[in-house]
Amino acid sequence: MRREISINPVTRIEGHGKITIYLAEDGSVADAKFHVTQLRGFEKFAEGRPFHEMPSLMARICGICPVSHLIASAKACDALLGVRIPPTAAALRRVMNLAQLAQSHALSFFYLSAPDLLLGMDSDPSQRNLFGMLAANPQLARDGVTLRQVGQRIIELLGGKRIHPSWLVPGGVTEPLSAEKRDQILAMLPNAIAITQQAIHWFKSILPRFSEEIKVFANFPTLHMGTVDRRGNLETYDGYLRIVDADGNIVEDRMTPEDYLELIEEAAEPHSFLKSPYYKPRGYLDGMLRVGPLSRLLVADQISTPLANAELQEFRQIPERQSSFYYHLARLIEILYAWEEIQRVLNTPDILSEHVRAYAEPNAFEGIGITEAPRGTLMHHYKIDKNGLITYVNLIIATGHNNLAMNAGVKQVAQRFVHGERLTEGMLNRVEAVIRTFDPCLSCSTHAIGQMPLHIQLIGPNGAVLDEIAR
Amino acid sequence: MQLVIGIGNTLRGDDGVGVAVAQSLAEQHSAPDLQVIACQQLTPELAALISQAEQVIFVDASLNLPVGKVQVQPLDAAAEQACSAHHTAPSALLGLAKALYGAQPRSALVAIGAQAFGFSEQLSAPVAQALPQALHLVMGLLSEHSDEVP
Repeated sequence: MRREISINPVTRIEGHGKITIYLAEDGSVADAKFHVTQLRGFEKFAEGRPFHEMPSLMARICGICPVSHLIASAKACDALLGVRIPPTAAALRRVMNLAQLAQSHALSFFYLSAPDLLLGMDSDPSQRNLFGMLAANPQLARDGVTLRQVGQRIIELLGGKRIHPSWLVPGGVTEPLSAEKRDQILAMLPNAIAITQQAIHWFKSILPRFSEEIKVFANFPTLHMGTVDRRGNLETYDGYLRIVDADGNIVEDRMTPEDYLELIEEAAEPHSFLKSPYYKPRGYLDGMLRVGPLSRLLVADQISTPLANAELQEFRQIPERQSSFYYHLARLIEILYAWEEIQRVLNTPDILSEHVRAYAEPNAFEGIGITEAPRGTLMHHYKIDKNGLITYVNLIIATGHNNLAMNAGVKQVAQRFVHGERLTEGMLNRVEAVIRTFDPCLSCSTHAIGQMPLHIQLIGPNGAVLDEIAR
Repeated sequence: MQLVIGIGNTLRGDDGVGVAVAQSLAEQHSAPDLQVIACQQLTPELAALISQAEQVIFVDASLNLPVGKVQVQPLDAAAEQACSAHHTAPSALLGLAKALYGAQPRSALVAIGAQAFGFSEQLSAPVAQALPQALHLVMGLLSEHSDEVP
């Protein structure tokens, strides 16, 4: 009889999940699974709603990345209308998406993962939080708060409020940008850039402490998917999907939203409400994909902004850059790109244009919108009837694309760090920490209610509890 | 600057009373140094704004008071040492503002005893009736502090 260790819930992630570690008779790890235990059902209850409600409805999927859902949804609705939105509207959506990416990455790095990075994987769990960070490195904690605040403030200035702004609509945006708001945003960016560079410098300085984690934190070959522009630059709002293999060879390029139907398949696993998409031509498991900041940096040829591009070129020299531990560094590089790109876009001559919305009735029965959310490629696919009512919704969320790799990563870490019949906090924290590198958003990906205590049990062959940890 | 933060979800009945108080205050009382915020939940980055305030008043529904009872409660910056993107207590935010920026604004929580948290955009009758008193107490705290500023 197999023995099991259960980590329930996984802490410091967005939403609710648990991990089960299965031990063999000799105490070694035989297998491990990451279960997503919540279900939200957005795809079904949207059926019957007027299509123009979709951006607002879909934004409610998440309080951390509502802007990503707004943008993917608005783009799917643009396709239903059959319109090309005004260039200034696209530029403004791009700015909001970048601000969203930066604030979400700052949350993941500074609030959720930095406590492990700063205090160590074996530190007292009661101290592994923002307050523990404060005691150890107050400047890092202040920097995290500032970067989050800048991203949130940009979203608020553009959309009127920081969570669930109703400014992004099918056909464009509802309001043009004023010169005053543009200048307010531009004034915040030099400090944000300096802080981000300091964080990158700090992260690189601590890397030697994590050589063991780098080796086994989902460090294996997979496919990577992300968006690039027509020159192969990193892109987050609009462009072409590209898939590369572990050696950097391009497997698919110039994919349009419609191509996803032929190239991405979704598998369902009995142990999780989170689906497991994969690259269809290679089949289940061999078609294992990763998405998100690490994958975007592995997919892009270069970054269009100078500071972030210099970091990218340095990143490309890292031998173990396939390790998911480097999601953290990739996240920081993308924050730097976000501030630089916002600066560039806001300094373009037409950014204050008042032509920011195209109006049309539905011209197609089917629309697909794809964008890069902080956690990776986000796909919204809608069908409507002749009255404009939704008849079908399929959402493929970034966290889903990473599901197979997260499961394989949990197993890899457990096999390296978990042994025998005694549990330590450090062991189990590493198993959770590999999940945190992906920054999964389970509320998004299962389309959380309640608070669950963390309760880990090690159960022996006869069903007896051998060890137990509660947080 | 004086800061009032109304906390709650307006889609969950009485939970929205903090937001309702903040909205009423913003409509009825404007002053150049008053900033009123309404939010569903507190997040750590609010500590930066709090650090710039002379006084911060939180307004929130309470499960610990009889329904409809309104009470001004003191807050202790050291009482709570945990926060997350999804749950941060007022005292934790004050603790963050102190630790991060050395700021210790005067603070209080105006708590309103509440009972009905189902799906609704309406306050229950006793909570709706308590709203003017909560607003009165917030304005009292604001004017009390204003008098101290030369």
